[in-house]
Amino acid sequence: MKFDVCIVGSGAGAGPVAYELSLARYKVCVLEKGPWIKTDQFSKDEMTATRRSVYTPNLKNERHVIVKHQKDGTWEAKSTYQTGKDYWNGNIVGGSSNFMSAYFHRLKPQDFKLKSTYGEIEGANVVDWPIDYENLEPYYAKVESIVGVSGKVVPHKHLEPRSTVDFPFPPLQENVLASWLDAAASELDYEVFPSPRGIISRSKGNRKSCYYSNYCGSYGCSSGAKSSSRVALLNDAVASGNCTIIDHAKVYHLTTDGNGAVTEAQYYDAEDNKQSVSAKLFVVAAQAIETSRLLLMSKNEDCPDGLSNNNGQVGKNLVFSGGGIGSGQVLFDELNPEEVSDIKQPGLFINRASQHWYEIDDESFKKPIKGGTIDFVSEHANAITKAIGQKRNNDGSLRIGADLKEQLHFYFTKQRTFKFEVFVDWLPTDNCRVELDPDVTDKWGDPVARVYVGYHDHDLEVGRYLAKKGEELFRKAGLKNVKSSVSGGVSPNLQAGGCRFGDNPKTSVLDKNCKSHEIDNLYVTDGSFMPTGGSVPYTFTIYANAFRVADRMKEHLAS
Amino acid sequence: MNESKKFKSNPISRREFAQKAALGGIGFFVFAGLESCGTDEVYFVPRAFNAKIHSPLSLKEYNYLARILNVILPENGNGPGAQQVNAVEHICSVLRDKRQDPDENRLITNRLNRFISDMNQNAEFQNASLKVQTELVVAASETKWGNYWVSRLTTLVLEALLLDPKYNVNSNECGWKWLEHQPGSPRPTDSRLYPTIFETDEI
Ligand SMILES: Cc1cc2nc3c(=O)[nH]c(=O)nc-3n(C[C@H](O)[C@H](O)[C@H](O)COP(=O)(O)OP(=O)(O)OC[C@H]3O[C@@H](n4cnc5c(N)ncnc54)[C@H](O)[C@@H]3O)c2cc1C
Ligand code: SF4
Repeated sequence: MKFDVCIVGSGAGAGPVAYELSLARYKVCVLEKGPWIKTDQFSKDEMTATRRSVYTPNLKNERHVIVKHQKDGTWEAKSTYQTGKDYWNGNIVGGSSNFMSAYFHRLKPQDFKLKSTYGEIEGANVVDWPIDYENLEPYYAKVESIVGVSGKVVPHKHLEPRSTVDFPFPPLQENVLASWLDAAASELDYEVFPSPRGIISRSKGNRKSCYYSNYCGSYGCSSGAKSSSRVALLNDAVASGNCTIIDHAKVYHLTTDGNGAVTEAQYYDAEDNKQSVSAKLFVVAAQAIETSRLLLMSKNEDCPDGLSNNNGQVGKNLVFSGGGIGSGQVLFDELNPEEVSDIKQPGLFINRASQHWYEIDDESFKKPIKGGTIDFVSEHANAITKAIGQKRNNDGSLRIGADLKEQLHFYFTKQRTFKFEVFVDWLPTDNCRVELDPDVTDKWGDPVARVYVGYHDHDLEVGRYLAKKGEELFRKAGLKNVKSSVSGGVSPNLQAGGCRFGDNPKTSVLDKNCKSHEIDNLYVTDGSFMPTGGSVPYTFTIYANAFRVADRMKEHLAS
Repeated sequence: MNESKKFKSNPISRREFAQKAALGGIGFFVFAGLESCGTDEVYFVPRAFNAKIHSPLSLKEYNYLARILNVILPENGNGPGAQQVNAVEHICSVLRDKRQDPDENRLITNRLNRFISDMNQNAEFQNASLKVQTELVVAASETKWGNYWVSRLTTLVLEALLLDPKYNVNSNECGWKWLEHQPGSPRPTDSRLYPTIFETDEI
């Protein structure tokens, strides 16, 4: 059977396309390398969620090679099998959107015009986007209602323009710490607002509302409240009768016909047999690194350097999320029993964010610069991860025996730790990119992605500025042992870039509709299209853009 | 984060670090420097070796490992000890697990044997008091070869303390109760525990 559309991947970049096109009665096939796990099959088992590779591949079979810049100026390559630092984020139907924490901030108008608003930054490949915020706004609104975003609009100086007054789902319930932060913020004259979340606070169709399970990020949701691509979009797409999901289908090659069109997606099935799917249009949404890898792997006589790569742009300008984290403790012996009981309430969210410094106009910088977002969150309830964090003393020595037990008991029963996360632009540079590794292959013998993870020092400066602001708020709110750390370390779950969109085919892979400049029936709809990432996590924008591209694809198919 | 996961912790392997350490080990054995004289000391007795349950280990390895784990998480009146949470049995299941990094697993037993051979040259680790044993394990943890090894054992002990009791650890939720930890809901069903979950249709 020939499908109208074949989509590689099933996460946030894939779901909107599958949903829109199958509801418009086009025949859609989704190829997902991982298994299809249903809502009632998830549990809050720390072992399967975070301690072992269950929802991600075994690194022995499928790894990445990560190339890092060393202090002496050299670059060192190590595979993730060697280091244990995994770059897979969730490889099941719905992708990593099953496991996200779903902090959903929109980009701001200036994120679309970074270069013209703030100017060039030496060593960074900053460009303006080929579309404006106004082009994406209706699709943000669509995500809010179809995929499901909860929150409350509170005016603040960087609130982005909206076509709707408020979020369609009211804000989630909050831990008392949120009110402490509000009070501290008002004393500091510091703007905070309720964080929007891709989590529904009221039921919607077959999806139940959030039951405050206390195990959100890294865990599949057992109520369907988390707005994963699987529950929010793919289930409806399948119910339309027009969408076929093939799980355990690892796509390794896109075949072209020599006339600038993709004809087939070739994949390995669950038994490692080679299979293929034909379609009129193809969409790649395998998450940024794997998307670039697949295009590079799909080289053939017509495209000797990989699909859509005649100008050598595929894999370039990969971005992660710049910034850092901070923490502070609420010590129970400083509170009365009622306050302790309030602060210990499990499951409730902090849900406070600040974008007061989304633009920084401060004498410590020569001119106004782009700042970022601070999200205030509770520490994850994961017991083992928390306990492992207590293994070492400040000097790095191991805690053993009675010392270890005392520290564990204190940490779990006499305090609560709260955190803040700083999101700033990870400036695109030549040093952050995806290539095919010349030596290392996966279990099928295909080259793995070789990922260069260089960062720009400017990201650290901005990150540190914001981290200080986060610390200030925590201290004012009475938290103790407040600290933060900002580095060029990668959060592999937040990936974008690698297949920039733009008007110039020489400097971009995709046109402004995320269709390949070179291949007329090939689209990319995950975060790969983003030439700059903005200072928020990416998923809201990935969803919104994929809805936008789906509209263009409907026009394409209709013509 | 409960939230989000901007900076993911890396739960499992530090294989390469471990390999490096293996190359440049310096012997830690300086018994003379130990301070205990061991009169009013606590002595720990491991449960009987069961070849079926403890199969990846020899009797000797078992006797050492059980005592080392008791040093890491002793039964000292403040919460459960390693034996109560079945830490050694948990490590045996990790050693049997074909999905685990084999080098990482080899490291656990290789370093254990190094520890044993260093001990044999000196004193009776097995019959020493908890205090003396602790000093010896701390000394090992301060060496290049022993630091990662003791750290890895500690991680596995903490898994045994805090995993769901369905994994035959954390007996009667003693770890959760001690640390007032509230597990998430729903808890895993038997068929969806690791590694049985790989036998289910969908995975
Ligand atoms: C723990 C965690 C917390 C997070 N928290 C947040 C947050 O708070 N806010 C936020 O905005 N984002 C968050 N994210 C990130 C968010 O999940 C991703 O940004 C989003 O899911 C990316 O969408 P995607 O379509 O690019 O990739 P994914 O959703 O990962 O989907 C890609 C899919 O493609 C499949 N695939 C890959 N290669 C192939 C191939 N060759 N053949 C077939 N299939 C393939 C993968 O298996 C995967 O299922 C978080 C992620 C994690 C893991
Ligand atoms: S129930 Fe709520 S807190 Fe739990 S995983 Fe689902 S969305 Fe997250």
